[in-house]
Amino acid sequence: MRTPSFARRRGASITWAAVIAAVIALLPLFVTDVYTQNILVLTLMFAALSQSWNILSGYCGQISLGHALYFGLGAYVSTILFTKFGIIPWIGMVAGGALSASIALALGYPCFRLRGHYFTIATVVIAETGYLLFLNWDWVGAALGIQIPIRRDSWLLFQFPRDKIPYFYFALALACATWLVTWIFEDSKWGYCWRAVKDNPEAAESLGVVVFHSKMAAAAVSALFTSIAGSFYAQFVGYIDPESVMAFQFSLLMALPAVLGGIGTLWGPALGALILIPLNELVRSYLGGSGAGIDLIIYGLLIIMISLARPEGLVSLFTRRKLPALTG
Amino acid sequence: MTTPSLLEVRHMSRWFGGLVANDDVSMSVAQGEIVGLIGPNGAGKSTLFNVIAGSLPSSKGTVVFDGGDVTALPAAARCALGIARTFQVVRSFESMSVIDNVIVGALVRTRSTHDARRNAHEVLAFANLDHRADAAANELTPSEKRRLEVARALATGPKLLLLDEVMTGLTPVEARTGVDLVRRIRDTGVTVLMVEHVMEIVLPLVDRVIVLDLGCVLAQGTPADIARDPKVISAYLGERRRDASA
Repeated sequence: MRTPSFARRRGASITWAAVIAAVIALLPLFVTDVYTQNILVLTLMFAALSQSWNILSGYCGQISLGHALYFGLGAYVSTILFTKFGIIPWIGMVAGGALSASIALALGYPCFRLRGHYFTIATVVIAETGYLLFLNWDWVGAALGIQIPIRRDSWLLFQFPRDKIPYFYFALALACATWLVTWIFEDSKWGYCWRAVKDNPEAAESLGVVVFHSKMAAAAVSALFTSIAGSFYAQFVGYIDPESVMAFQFSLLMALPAVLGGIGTLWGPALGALILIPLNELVRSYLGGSGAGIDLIIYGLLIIMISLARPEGLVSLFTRRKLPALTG
Repeated sequence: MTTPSLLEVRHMSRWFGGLVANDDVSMSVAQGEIVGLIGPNGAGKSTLFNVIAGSLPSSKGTVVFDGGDVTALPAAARCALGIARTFQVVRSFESMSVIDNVIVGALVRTRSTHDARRNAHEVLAFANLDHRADAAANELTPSEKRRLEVARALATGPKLLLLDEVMTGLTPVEARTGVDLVRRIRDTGVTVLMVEHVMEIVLPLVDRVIVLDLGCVLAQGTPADIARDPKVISAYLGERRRDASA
């Protein structure tokens, strides 16, 4: 029986995750510079976002380049509920998540009949439609966007105008939560179904996997967490407009860390985010306005290098050594 | 005939546009049998096979399994009822390990991944593949991949196992192991319907043979009867014999 070794591997993963999370939690003791804190928050947020994207696109193999839609919906729902109806962002966050998951199901119903590239194209088009809708919708501020009114430092209102640390811990919690959800799903019926659907839908179907339901479940979970991160981002930056929360670039930025780190793996998204997001911020700050687009060129280079040298992503550098059985 | 039939196909036709692949096919498989489905290329074996498995809807007629009409059910639902299959061209889950491939099948009977894993190891041991459990599926040899497909299908706990040319491309030694595996599967109480090209393997192994030709059932009976049937010889065996002696 090899079952114990399997259990040991999973136990090792979660121990590592706990240790890493604990180390990260101590970082604010040493990092007092606001600029660096900002990068840390964004890195953790994109780790969470990419982990959510990875559930649908990595594990279940349905490549989405339209996740900016759910990110934007999360940002808009919590912000609108707060500014127009005085509802605290925490409830808005849950409402946004529920709405995004529902929309993911509604869109999945027609779109999951499409396969491969055609599905991906549909996600791009739908997200772009949502972006244009918000850009022209006066009630939600159209292109001007919405400013979240600043009251005071408060966990209830989830706003801290003079402090980044609370955001840092929320982002860390969200990154841990998405990692943990992925970890749980990996050894669940859904997890196996998703990977089977990704590898070979016909074979999966013949083994009793209802392919359509599997994709729908992955889409809903993925959209839910993407949306929560969107609500968080709105609170973090205090001002949203369609360009800053729903642009195509966000869809790319969610996908790239997972692709770089290892698509469909537990650690890939976090590892990718750790490299990509600080790099992105550094490039942007050094090059300033003249650097627009340079960051994208660097991503492009990274992706080309990765697909040539390590198509499985950077995590394969570590797993190769740990699992000699796999190299056969 | 006292044994009730496990599978019954009644007046089934399937056409693709103007092309008739199966024309009014009626056949049955009794509980506990090993039935061979043979026929020359283009006879409609794969279509019939896919209609039984639920991968293709029939254009006309019904499929009855274990006393219930399953004609309208998709493949996944039929698998839950107890029909498992392999594919002519192997379809392993290439990015997954061997054991994970089998776990996917086992999960149709349980929600617990722990139980599924244990069950999967047992099935792999049964198929003499447990020593490869932690290997990646894409590293297996062709014959191991075939055994993996059979193991994966067996893990779903089927009453009827549909084998699509599992012996094709195997060396004689591997084929003998395969024949032995099919016999052992039947001995566990699973009914087997196998499509096969290699006559030398099918005839000694099966209890009954169904011959398809041009989309229709040409003949059925024991292997000995089939081998003597002049219609079969001219439609299928005759050509093969001529080819072999040429």
